[in-house]
Amino acid sequence: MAQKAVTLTTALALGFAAAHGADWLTDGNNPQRTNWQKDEKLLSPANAKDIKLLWKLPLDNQPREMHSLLVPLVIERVHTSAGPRQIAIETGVSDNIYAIDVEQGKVIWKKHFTSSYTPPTGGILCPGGITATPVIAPAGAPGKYTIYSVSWDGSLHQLNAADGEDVAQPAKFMPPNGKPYALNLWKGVLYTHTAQGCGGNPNMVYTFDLASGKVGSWGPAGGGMWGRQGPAISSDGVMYTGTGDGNFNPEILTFGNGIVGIKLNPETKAPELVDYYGPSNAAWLWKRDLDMQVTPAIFNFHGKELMVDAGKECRVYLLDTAAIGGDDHRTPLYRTPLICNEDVNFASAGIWGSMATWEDAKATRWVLTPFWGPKHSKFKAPVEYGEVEHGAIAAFKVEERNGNWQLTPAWISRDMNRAEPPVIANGIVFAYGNGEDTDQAYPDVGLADSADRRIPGSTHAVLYALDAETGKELWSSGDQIKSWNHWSGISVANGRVYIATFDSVLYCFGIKK
Amino acid sequence: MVFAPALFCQEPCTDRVRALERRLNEQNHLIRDWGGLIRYGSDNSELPAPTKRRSRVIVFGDQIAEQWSFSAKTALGLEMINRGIAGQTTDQMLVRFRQDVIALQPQAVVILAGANDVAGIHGSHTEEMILDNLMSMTELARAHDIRVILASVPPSRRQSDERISELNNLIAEYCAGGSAVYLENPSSAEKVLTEALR
Repeated sequence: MAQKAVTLTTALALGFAAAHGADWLTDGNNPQRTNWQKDEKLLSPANAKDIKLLWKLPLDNQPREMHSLLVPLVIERVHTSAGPRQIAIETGVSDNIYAIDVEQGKVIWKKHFTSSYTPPTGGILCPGGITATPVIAPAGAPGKYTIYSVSWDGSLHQLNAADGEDVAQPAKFMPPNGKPYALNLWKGVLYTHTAQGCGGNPNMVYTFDLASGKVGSWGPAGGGMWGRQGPAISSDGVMYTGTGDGNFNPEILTFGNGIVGIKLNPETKAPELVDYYGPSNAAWLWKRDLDMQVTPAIFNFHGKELMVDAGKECRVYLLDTAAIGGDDHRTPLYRTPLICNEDVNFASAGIWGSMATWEDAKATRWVLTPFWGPKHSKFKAPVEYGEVEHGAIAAFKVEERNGNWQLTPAWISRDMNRAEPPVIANGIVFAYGNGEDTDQAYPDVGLADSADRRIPGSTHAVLYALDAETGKELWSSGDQIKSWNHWSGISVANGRVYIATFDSVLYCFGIKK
Repeated sequence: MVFAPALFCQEPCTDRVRALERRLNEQNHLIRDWGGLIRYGSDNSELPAPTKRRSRVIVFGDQIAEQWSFSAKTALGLEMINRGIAGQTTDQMLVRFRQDVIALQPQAVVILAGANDVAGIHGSHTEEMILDNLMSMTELARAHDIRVILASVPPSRRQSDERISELNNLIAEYCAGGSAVYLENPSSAEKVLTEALR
């Protein structure tokens, strides 16, 4: 009898899995920020050449500085008043959330957060508005989901994905104008971090316990925490993030140009520092403005939980979440040689955004990193596709040899104009060059990091489909995307790839039925 | 300037355009990193502080320094750190002297420099200009209690013996004043270093 019950449960579970499509409920697709869409079944290397523009949707969001639309999130099946719908949740920097029927390419509902907050002018680094990609979670019944989002005034909003209505009163999460990064949700607690000192606020980690409404904070970290996809969270509930420019000196509790691990105290629910790592050349990184500003990715391999992270210097670090910097907090499992940024450019070269990782059918673990600028003259991979001048994707295999770990170069993609964090889906690596003018300093005026200068110099994004095992280009969007984007990203679910641009247009590519 | 010919260039001159582009990239790189701070900047930050048990000595300068080997370092118990960069002139070295010498807290620095100045690879340098730069480096070092050994410039088939001889005379004369120790012949480096570190 017991055996039958187990069998029935297993069968139901398998049946559910077979019928279930793919979601993209959080930036990076999961709390570990792997950017791997495991549930994609429709797109494949065999049909990638047939990818077309399915629709594009102009939205009424107003860009702020260089920010416009954040990474689209996707819920495969939401029970709306009009029936079940697959919807994309698109966030606009001007305090807007849109729900879009992805079959039709039409807005189902829009929510604009209003508040009495009047912000000061913040410049390009502090655009104001929503800067954190929301996170979505199932809400206890099939087809029911809650969207968690932080508005410009620092309030946490909880919306019903079906209609955009509040399912809870807005609650204070952090000070206004704090520039939080993509929210992560782990066991009922929201996590994020802030950077750039926007609004005069220190750069902090913030947590929000959904059950109790208790807010926690930790910091300042010594450097702004500006990994594009927010923190990554390990199986042990430790939140990891890279830190930006600052002194790395744990003796005085400053952790600039490093990585910090923060965990909630189970008793007090207060976030506390539990681990940290400082690259052995952290002083150089600080001196040359080479932030460790990348969201890590966490994965399991050979019985360990590993993490990869990177920064503007253009190295990838492989770390063990059991002790990310080893006993001395300065020793990773492995550090790659320089992949790019031979000129030590703080603005237009190096690794930006986030990492990606996946495992193929042969149990080979892959790590992908985007990078900007020319490939380093001494960095080689067995497979390359011509000169890399503006950026590319570099792929590595994680290998353990005689107890020593390494990231072995596998391929380097074709040139992409400012390659952004890729997504892996069913044997395809989707990547894009964002087309953004990233220069911040000019011979005639020196440092002048302003949107007025950079927007006219920006061109247009190009989306690429690459063979995940070889990096070979399978398809590209060519000139179909008319604008560029900044601080955004792509998502993939159920045969569709989404990318949003500065002119507040959401593009959906896929295979036409 | 470089791209204009490309518009009218037929196949035979493509190589020339590429060569010009390479040259432009090299010049851009030189402008962005005139002093060569990138070459050792990261490595320097990974060096531990010097120990009292071993005297840290920096070998600093151009390609002659970069290729300089000193076999007696173990016998003298020295920690020899090479900070030579091929192709540099003394004004470039002055830019990186703090990062690549002073910040590493050595007891002594051996400076092998001047050959590229004499060769004029970044324009004309008189012997007096070269000595000015060597004196500036020496004074900076002495202000941080770093002993200075100034090496003579070796003869070169491409350069005038007369100019090199004149420069070496100026260096020797300056060292005779007591600010630095003159190293006339690399084969006497052990003796000179022993005396300098005494």
